[in-house]
Amino acid sequence: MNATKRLSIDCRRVELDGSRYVILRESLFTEICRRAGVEPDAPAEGPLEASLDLDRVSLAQKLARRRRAVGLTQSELARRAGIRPETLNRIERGRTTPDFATIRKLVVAINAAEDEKVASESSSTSTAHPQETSHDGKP
Amino acid sequence: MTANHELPASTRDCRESVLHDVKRIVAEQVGTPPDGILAEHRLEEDLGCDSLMLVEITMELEEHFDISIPDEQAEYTRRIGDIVDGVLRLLEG
Repeated sequence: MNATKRLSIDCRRVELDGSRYVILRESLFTEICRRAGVEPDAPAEGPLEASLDLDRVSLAQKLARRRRAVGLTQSELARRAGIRPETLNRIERGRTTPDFATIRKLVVAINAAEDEKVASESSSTSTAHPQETSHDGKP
Repeated sequence: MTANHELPASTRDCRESVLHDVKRIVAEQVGTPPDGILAEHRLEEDLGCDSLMLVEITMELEEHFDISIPDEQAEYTRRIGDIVDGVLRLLEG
């Protein structure tokens, strides 16, 4: 076994109830423990509940980040997506787990806003800021 | 439209082609090499997808294959192989 091979640490950082956590593949975690010569404790009970919480938090953070990136307020995005502003507020605070259809409505609305933003930026940068590089969205 | 798969004559080849494209689309979302993804992998438990990624993968599949995947189907299809079957059904449909 080649213990000197450099490990590529592919992980995600999340915040849950005020504490920072790192999520990484179990096989990678096992390899890190092996190299460090430590034996991890057995996993705590209730992994399902924890994963649901993490999913809510991860969704909340990503949606809020993407909404701000396209310059929409919560109420504006809610209106465009056709959901209640209170619902979006609860989603972004990680208080509720939206169903697939609701997330899809939000993604569609954010993508549309992104397209509008790219279109308006490319028309204004060509005249107002000729030196600025434009931020290309997905085609 | 990025659809670059042509439906080959035999169903097996067709399935392989769809599986290849599904793996590529999922791999892009989860940030892992497509070769590391297997037909028996589950999106959440094995590949670490969250609910937003599930929606984005569904929308990518719809655009790539030019199909419309019903929410109920997308919500409850988790295994890569089952996603491929679902796409094939919609392509034939």
